Amino acid sequence: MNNGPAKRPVGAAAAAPVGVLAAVATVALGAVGVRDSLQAAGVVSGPSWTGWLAGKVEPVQPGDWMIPAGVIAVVAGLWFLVAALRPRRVTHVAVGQDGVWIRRRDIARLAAESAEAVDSVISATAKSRRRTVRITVRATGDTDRVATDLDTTIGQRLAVLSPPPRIRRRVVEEH
Amino acid sequence: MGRGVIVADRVAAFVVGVGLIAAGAGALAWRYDLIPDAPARLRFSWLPDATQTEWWPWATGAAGVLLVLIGLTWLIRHFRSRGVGRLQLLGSDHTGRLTADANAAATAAGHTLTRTAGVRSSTGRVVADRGQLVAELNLTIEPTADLGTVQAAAEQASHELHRIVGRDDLHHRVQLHVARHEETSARVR
Repeated sequence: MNNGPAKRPVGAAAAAPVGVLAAVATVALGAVGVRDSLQAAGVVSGPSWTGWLAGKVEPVQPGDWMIPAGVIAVVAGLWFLVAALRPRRVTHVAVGQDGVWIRRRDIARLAAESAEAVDSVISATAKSRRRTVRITVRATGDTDRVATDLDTTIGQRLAVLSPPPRIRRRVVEEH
Repeated sequence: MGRGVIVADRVAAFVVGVGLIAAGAGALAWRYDLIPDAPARLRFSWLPDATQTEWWPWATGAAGVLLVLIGLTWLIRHFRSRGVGRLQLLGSDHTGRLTADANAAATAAGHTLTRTAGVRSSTGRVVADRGQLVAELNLTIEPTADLGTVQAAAEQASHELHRIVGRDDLHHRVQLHVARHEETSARVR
């Protein structure tokens, strides 16, 4: 049996919007071709669109418009290349080793909830980045003791994550 | 989205990207006279002549139909559901086929997890994902839930699902979502 955990969850590919646009452009281009074919057969009235476009093509020669257009084309081209080659974004962190996953924002919610349960903490906000959970709490009393309690409580709560995140905490004393 | 359409998107983005860079860099180099022996101008006088020929409408028609078909297929594949309906089970042979509603099995597996402390709700389905057949369970858990308990229960439910379905090629994935606020049940005293 090769039953086992599936591949890790990932976000949409950066190239997907490019693909959707390219597909729409392909359909549009095809529709123009079909329309001109029908126009030649007398089914559709009006001038040929491809004929009109071909008539508009004039000899191209170097001009100042090529400077902004060239720069824009190179920048857009680089963006397309990055989108084509970029790996899909990692969206989840493993819980254990057997196919259980959690989103980063949910790790932040768990951390904030744990922090609010610590004695003397009035409120807590948390953000989860790649490998780090940053937590800011407002607390009364001994801030050193609160900081130690936060490390212990949140550390234990998130110990099951693989890998466990680093915890960065900031305690703001309320007077 | 399947793997094929992602590959098509990446190839399209790569080709368009290389084309834009080449065109942009070429235009800049031409404008600043960096290309030795570059022509003073480019003519496309053959193009208007081509559109007047007898074969042109046939060519645009054939190419147009082909492009519309390719474009529509490409577009539809972006939005096609990854869901899997019925799965053929172990023990199927020429005398008969055993099938199971894959989504019902996954939903049932998720439902058993809602009995675990801290698990509020669940959904389950079987999807085709990057070349794998995947039973995907999504659990909403309480902010106070114990991750270790939920993890152990989720792993147990996944193994149970594998045992029931009995397909070698089935994989599992459990995704946890934490509710914003703890569910409070109204009490009448």
